[in-house]
Amino acid sequence: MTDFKPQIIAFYCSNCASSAATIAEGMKKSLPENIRTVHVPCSGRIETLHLLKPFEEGVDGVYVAGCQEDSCQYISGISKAARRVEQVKKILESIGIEPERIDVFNLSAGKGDAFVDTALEMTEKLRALGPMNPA
Amino acid sequence: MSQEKPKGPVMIIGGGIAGIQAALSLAGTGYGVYLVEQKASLGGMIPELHRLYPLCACCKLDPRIAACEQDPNIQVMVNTRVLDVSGKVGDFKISLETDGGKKDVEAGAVVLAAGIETFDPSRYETYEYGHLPNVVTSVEYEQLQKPLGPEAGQLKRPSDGKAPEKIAWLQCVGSRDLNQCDAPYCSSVCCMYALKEALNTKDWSEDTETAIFYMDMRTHGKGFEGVLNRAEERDVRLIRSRVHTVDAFPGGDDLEIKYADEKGELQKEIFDMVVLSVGLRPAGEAVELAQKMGVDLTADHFVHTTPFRPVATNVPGIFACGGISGPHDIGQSITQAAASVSEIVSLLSPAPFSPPEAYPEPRDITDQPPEILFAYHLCPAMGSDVGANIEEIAKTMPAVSSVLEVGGDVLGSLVEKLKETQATRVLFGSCTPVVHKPLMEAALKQAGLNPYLYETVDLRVVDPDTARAHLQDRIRMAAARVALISPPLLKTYPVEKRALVVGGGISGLESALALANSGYPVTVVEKEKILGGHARHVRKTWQGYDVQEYFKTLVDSVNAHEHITVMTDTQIKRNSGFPGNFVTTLNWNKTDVDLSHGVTILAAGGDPIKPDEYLYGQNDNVYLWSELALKMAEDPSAFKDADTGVFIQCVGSREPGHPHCSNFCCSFSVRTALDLKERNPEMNLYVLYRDMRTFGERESIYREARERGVIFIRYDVDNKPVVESSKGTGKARVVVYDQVLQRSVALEADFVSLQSAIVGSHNEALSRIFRVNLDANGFLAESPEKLKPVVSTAEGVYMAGLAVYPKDTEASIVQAKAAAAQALEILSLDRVQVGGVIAEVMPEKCAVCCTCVRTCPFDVPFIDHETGAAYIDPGLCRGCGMCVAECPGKAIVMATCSDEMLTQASAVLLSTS
Amino acid sequence: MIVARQKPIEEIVEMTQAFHKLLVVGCKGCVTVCNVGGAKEVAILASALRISGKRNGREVVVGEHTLERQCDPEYVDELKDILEDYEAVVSIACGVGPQFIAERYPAVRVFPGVNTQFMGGAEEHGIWSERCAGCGTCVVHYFGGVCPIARCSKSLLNGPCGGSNNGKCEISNDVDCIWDIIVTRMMEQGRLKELIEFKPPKSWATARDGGPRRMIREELVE
Repeated sequence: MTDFKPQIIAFYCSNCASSAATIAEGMKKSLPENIRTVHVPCSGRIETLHLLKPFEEGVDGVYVAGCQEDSCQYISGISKAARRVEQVKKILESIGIEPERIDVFNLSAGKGDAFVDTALEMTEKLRALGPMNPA
Repeated sequence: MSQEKPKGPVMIIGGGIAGIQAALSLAGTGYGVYLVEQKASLGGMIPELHRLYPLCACCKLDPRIAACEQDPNIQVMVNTRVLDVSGKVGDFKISLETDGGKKDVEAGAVVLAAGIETFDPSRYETYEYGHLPNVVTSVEYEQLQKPLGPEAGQLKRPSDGKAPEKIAWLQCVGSRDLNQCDAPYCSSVCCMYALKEALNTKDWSEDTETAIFYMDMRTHGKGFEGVLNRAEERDVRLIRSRVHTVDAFPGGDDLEIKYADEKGELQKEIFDMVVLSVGLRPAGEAVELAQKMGVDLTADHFVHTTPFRPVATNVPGIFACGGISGPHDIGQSITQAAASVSEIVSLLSPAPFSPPEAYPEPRDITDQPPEILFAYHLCPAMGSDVGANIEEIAKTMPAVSSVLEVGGDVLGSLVEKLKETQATRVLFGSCTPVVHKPLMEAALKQAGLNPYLYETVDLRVVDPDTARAHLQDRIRMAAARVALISPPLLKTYPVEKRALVVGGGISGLESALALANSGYPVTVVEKEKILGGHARHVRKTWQGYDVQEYFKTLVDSVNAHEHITVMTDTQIKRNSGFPGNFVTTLNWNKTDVDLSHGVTILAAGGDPIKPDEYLYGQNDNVYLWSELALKMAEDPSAFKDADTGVFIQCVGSREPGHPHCSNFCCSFSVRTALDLKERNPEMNLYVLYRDMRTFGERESIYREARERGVIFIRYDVDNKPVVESSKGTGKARVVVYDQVLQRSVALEADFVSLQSAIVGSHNEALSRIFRVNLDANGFLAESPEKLKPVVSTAEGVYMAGLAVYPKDTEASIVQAKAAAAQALEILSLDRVQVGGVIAEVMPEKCAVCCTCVRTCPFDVPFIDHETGAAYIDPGLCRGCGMCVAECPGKAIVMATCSDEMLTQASAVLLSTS
Repeated sequence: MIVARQKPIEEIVEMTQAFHKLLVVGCKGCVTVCNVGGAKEVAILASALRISGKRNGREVVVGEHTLERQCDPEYVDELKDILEDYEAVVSIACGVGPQFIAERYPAVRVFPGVNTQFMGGAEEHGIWSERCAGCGTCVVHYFGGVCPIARCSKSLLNGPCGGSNNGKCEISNDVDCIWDIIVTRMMEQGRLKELIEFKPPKSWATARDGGPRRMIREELVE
């Protein structure tokens, strides 16, 4: 189990993700290899289906990284995304899958290395849960 | 008006946020601009700060710097000092020292946007700065907090690296102090940044104790009071006090603060760290330069301007904005920069460095399979193998038809390669892709393609072990996406070169005049029968300038102007359209008239609320502040014989209902008290306040008033003054609890002036008609794109004056001119393009369910009954994609971020190759 | 519109577990508008079913299709060719849909994917409430444009019961007492005294109590 490397798809809002990536680079930190990112103009663009599709493809976890609640350029994008993540959690739960496999994070320059830390946090959580599908 | 304006480029001295704003705005209006910065990079103070408040906007600086660097009409000159400026408007000569060499340039106008620095607190012996390592300045503290700072965002105190558990901020270090630091003014920004730093500290660790030692808490700006309230809710302690000394606490690195509390009693408290909230001052070199240019300075060494032409110096053609003209925050600096643009446009014709681009008609690529040109740009900081990796990865992707490394003239080589290969899509790899987007769009347009047929790849990798895998993922993803982009529909429309200004007060008229002086027709609509608004009862500015006299001249110039149509007694009924092409229905003389215009400026003003306390309306000697001012203006001997007058501040302000601070009431009361003292030096005058907010250089009149015997008594919001009618005399008897004397005081007043909260006059109706949002206090909200203080939440709709937030005459004029300058960026275009990164409804799939109508944060979609489907105006859509996500019938699409891209994303990323 | 709610997915998984080839069929009518049975929800449900299958090591093929309306036979006809590839259908239209599909394709197993709730409308995005009980004899004009049949817990026609409490119904503080609203509305219209007039007991013969309903419009029938 120790060598299990969860496959993760991360949706990033291109507004805050870009500056977060700059900071991460400045801190000489990089996303681990198991995280694959998809960029969207605003996290409000992400649909329930887009969050489910990676699970269909067999990934072990998904997360959305967006702006702070009070700093969305489109006012309510990140809060909409958070609600969709909630819906996906319910769907996963109802089909017997751990809802912890999906999460939403507010990126903030104020919390320093959040860009990379969220990825590590998610990876650790999924390592504990184990693979999504039977081998 | 017909006299020919001189022509020329503009010299901007200083590459901070004010200089950047002025450069972009001027270039956007067609001017050639030199942007000179002494340091090695643009940005000024902002890169040193950690988060901006109230809205974080760190991510908005880099794209602006990039825009300056990429604009052919902006010549950025860093590492450059200005040695001398000579000549006159239309014909300035500027000698520069750049990278060791000398250079002369000519310009038609000069903007001084340089020169703010923070106070060096070493000269205060009592704070031990420089001796005790745990005493730091606020700027140093922000560095400690910054994720890219020395501690990577993990706050540690300098002496021993311990995470501080208890931090104190000392306010007014190098401000409001004549004796030790020669800075009698208030630096205006420090209360806000101390609150911000304390809140950021709480974000980092909620348990850290924070305390701010202050004299008056000055959160007078838009949205600032909310930050203060939030700080209090999160247990940031606010200690009203005078700090005596900071000393090392024996036996460790802790610090002991000795201070006198409000009652004058000496207290002591131990802290882990002390942050000195250092004030702002004009930079020595900038001051010298200003003097060399013959620009007048104030006693505080800021550039001297008059309130009615707030960004103009005494030298025609030289303008000042940002820190050199006073202690201003970021929002004010940006507004002033834009205002100086409007001044320049009215006196100088543009001399662009490069003519406006003419683009070929995009060619039709509907039936062609996507052929991708993969261009990449490597920075010196990138690993040597990145290029080789890219070339190798690209080979594995069939859709990529050619690969090109670019450097130097990126735009030129891209266009050439696109024409040569006839590729239909561009994939661009670089660091920080977001700043290259305008470049991609320009390249595609020049190559005769739809400008949105590109995707970017971030090439920044850190860990060499994972570099290749990351690059491969990103390139594969971007290639898949770019292949799926269908060219979004683009249309261009001619710009209706007229402005609609809503509101005939000072702000509206100044905006109108600025636009008309730039040569564009303006229609001013006023609801009342006469022009004036709030200005009719403003007597003097805080400095003592006569507002009525100025206002009369303003109205005369507006009425006489050939380009301005004034419509009084006129109502606004409807508005439709998009930036460049609005139609507004006006009701005048009982008939509806349609007005076509390209931009809108909302300046509908504000009013003081009518209080229901302090015997207002019940005792004839109790006045609303506007009534008092009007009476004084009309009758020069009014109140001359009064024995006692009382001003009560924050009436209905900073309380539930109207939690905002009304900004200029403190200065109003102090100014009025001084003028009353002029009429009768024997008069007893009392100002009952909660915090004296005579911010910036207004502090000087507060000091003068105290010197002249005006008495200031602080009251607590939980123990407000009481006004009762004195039996027999009819005077108003005011009883207030004096915090210093610790007892109640009764004042027999001949008159009482109530400084009540200012609220927007017609904001709710206007927000519906013009589809703009309001903030929590009912004022027009600022664009969520940030750092755009006069742009509303709707594009093409700008705002100024009391409708935005309470402010004094000078600030209203600055804002009005800034709004005009922003509006010029649209008016000066011949055509506007609509479409691109937007959502589009496919009418045949639309179930007219209203989901999009209810979802859009900007209220753009509506149901078009003629087509029986929802309609999203391509000119108004902001491209967030929320409606696309929410539409239950999948009837809304976004070509640049389609469902296919997002549903196939994981399959693309996970496929093994 | 007809307002429906999605069935718990575990229930859908449970009832369809004997089948390996499922077609999820949506409807562009009411259920699209109430965000439960349109093209978007079809894709979400289909995806969830696939994920569930994969997780449990079962090979499940899930198709997606959305009809213009499931309550008109011409549209239901569209499924003819598509259905050949599937063993069962999950209809996420209102209760009418699965029945129309089952009638047209008697050999195919049809499962309902939603629970039909009521006839009502959207108060705002995401909130719907009942407005009509389909009783067959509309009376809203007597009550200020408000229907006590559908909206009073007891369908009372002659004023509130003793359970009306500060504008709320005794069954729950989240439910308005509709009689409170009717009285207020009638006061605003200056028609309060009309409520004093006695309303005789309602004939339920036109409602469900009269048995299953069918309607023939002679002028329309060929």
